Amino acid sequence: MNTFVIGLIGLLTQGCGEKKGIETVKPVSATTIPVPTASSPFTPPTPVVSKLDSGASLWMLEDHDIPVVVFNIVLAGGSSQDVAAKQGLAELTNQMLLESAGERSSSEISSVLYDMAVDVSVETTRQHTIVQVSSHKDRLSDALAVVSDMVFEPQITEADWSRVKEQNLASLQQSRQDASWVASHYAPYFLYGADHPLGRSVRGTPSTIEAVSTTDLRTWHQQRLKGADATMGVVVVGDIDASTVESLVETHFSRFPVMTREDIRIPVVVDVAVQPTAKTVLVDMPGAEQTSIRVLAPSYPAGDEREIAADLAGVVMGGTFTSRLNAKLREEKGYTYGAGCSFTTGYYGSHLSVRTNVQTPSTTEAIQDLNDVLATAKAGFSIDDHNKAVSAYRGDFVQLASSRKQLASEMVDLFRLGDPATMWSTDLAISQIVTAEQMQQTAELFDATRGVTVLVGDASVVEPMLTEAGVGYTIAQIPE
Amino acid sequence: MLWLYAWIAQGSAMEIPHETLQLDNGLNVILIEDHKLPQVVVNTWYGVGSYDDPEGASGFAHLFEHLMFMGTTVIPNSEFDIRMEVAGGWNNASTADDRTNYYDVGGANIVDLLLFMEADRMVNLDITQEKLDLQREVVRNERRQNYEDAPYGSIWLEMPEMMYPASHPYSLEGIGSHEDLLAATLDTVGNFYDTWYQPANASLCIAGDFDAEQVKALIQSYYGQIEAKEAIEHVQIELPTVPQIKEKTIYDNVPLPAMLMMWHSPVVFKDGDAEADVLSSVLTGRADALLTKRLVYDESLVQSVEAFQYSRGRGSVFIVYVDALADTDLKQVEDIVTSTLNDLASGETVVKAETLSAILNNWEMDFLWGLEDIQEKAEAVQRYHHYLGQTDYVQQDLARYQSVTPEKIQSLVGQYFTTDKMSKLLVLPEDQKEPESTKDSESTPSNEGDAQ
Repeated sequence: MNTFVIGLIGLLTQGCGEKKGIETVKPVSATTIPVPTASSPFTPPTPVVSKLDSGASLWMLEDHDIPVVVFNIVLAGGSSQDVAAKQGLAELTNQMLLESAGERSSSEISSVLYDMAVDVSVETTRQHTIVQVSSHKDRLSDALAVVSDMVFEPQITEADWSRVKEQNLASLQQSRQDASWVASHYAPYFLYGADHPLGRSVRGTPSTIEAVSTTDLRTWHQQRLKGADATMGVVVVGDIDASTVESLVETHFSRFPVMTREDIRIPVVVDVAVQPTAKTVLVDMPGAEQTSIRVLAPSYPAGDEREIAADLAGVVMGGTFTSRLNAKLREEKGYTYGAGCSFTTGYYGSHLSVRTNVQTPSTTEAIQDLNDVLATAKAGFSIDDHNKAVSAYRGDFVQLASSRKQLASEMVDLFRLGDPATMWSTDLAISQIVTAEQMQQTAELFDATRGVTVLVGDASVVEPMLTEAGVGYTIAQIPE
Repeated sequence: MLWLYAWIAQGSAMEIPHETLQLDNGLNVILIEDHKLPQVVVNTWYGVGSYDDPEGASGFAHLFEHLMFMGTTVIPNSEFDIRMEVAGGWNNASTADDRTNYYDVGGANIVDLLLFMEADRMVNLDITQEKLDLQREVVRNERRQNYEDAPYGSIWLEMPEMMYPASHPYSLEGIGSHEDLLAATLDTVGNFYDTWYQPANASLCIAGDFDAEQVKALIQSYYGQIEAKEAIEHVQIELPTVPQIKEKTIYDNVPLPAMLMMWHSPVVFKDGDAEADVLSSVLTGRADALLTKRLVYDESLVQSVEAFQYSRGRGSVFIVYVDALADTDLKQVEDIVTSTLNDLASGETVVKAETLSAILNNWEMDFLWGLEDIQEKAEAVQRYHHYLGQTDYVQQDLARYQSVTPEKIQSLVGQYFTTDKMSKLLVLPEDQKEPESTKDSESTPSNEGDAQ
């Protein structure tokens, strides 16, 4: 989701031209609690879509308030193309884009970008690679000259790879000692299985990282980011106009393949009739003071007409501080610092994620309470619930519009997933007419028995509790 | 008189145009009109933080922050959040050493409700034993999640007592100990509220899409009736210059070693504070920074190294954090860090003008990004007001960094970041613990034969 900026300014400033006089003193008392008025009209922005001379698609939003630009290059290559024995190859190749490139060494690349105060990040998704450049507008061209080398001419040296590999192994080793991270990162593995694109780790495992060589990295880069199979699109937000973007792309990227909307290759949708091998799995984390609980259950596929109603129901169930999950597990029982849920929707599968970390002695009570809360969706949603969900949905669009980087990231998602440029406006309009009954009709999704419950905690303490409570479980290991 | 003074800052590229006011009861008010989006932020800073935890009640200021959401005599129990969310708003709060902030975000149509509810909980808080018991458990779970179970989270529980004497309130981590949290009483809650939560100890910033005249009237209606109280005295302390514990090793549930090297440093916004920030970029943060280049790129001795100035009002700490590899020789790394600092202090290494220029470029960009949204603007202006008593400070703040010179950095390092003033914390995997070792080891400056 996202919002905008441009075009709103006139509308909003118009609203504050009308001023009222000083009101009489209203004391703070139960009889004077203000009742909010209707919210101001708000329409999310619509990215301006065009085609550059090179044929590449350009999606952009101009915002001239401050002289900064967020420039995204979207490349067709992601972790779903990793082979099982070399999971993490896409992500590791993308990390190598930040190392030696063109005529510069790693440290020279880092320094020249720092000297210009330019941030460059590379994100690996299942389908795509996204290079994001955040820069002062006056330094953008110089920055893109360097980025062009980084993306298309990485050296991928043995020395760089040795260091990057060691850093990845160490970092992964640290993450795998964090119960909360393990629960979140590997819950899809337990739902979808090791052979499913969503079940595999984008970061890879210790053994698959060890198996990657510089030859693998170069081959992947050549095939997916640079060669005949590679394509590129551009998504830009900030203090810049389309003709300047056109000129920059021509100068720095004209020699490379381009991505058009028609080129976006939607991957084959994997069968999402998920059959987890166990309903509850327990991963041992000796000494943990809390048990990290994640529930993942399949939800509606992308584009399903019930998707927004489900999102709104998700807000009430676990999307805000007063959500049913947080109210029960934190504010009533005090088991946890927080509990919530959200939906993930994509081409490879969609699911509900419920998450909380609870004090170890309360593990079984928390699981029962969590399931009881999820079951309340069947009883429906009140007027206040409905108002909260609809308002929060709108508020998210407004909030996202306040950050150019967030806005750019959301635009990238629209672009790369094949959604229409008008989707934000359409979704917001639909959300405002979804009824509480339609939200209730999505109650089937809030059911842990349809998916998997993942527990990461101290098994020596948790196992006897599960046994005593009659909760069936399987002890599981995370992939090595 | 309603407003003691009013002042309008003129906007420019590196400024936050705003208006400041003060009520008769002492409440400071800052108004930042910004009509770009139909959104408002109501941001309240109270001049109380973990520094003001009552004796024997570590973590109390933070626990109290949680209680501020538990209802008043006017808006009981959890209705504060419920009313806000139903109207499309959301909120959060944070407790730092020197202040506690509460911020509400919502549509322009609910600014009236937000102001009403903030004024209400400034004066009508209604806390019962049941509410206290519940929130102390929530906070204990916050401690477990963020400090005890989080790998290396224990570092931040150890650092305060290594750096500060027991008489200094910073010597205890703001999350509090389980024992102190369990010991908190309703009496302490009442006293704390009466002492610190009052208009003259608060600053209210409203930012976003509102009409200033309307909002002024609402503020007067809701806050103007709150009685002024006597001025508050914080505990006065002397700024420490040497750490309490020179070296300590702890064994934790971590897979790889880590090392923290710490020094007392200039307090926030005082001479040397900006220089310490710039020094952190001289040392780490880019590939040719002194420590990053040698430790990460040239010799591959560590996973990563990060230096930062942890600025506070009653004693800052400059930290070099080393994420080690399994075979890292931590003594070798320590020697490299200290020799790098010694060379800066002696003039053997001089920070180049082009390096300073690049660092300044990055600080300028950070300032620019900070002007992006109303929440960041409100926080920046509140910070200036809290620490400096003035709000039109963005340009001067940037000027602090623009005035940093190689000579100032040399002087700073020589004065503060010497080996004899360093404290070192090692975090090692539990399986490296010697069998005969039954507890964590530590040494103090005196028994280490400190050079002083």
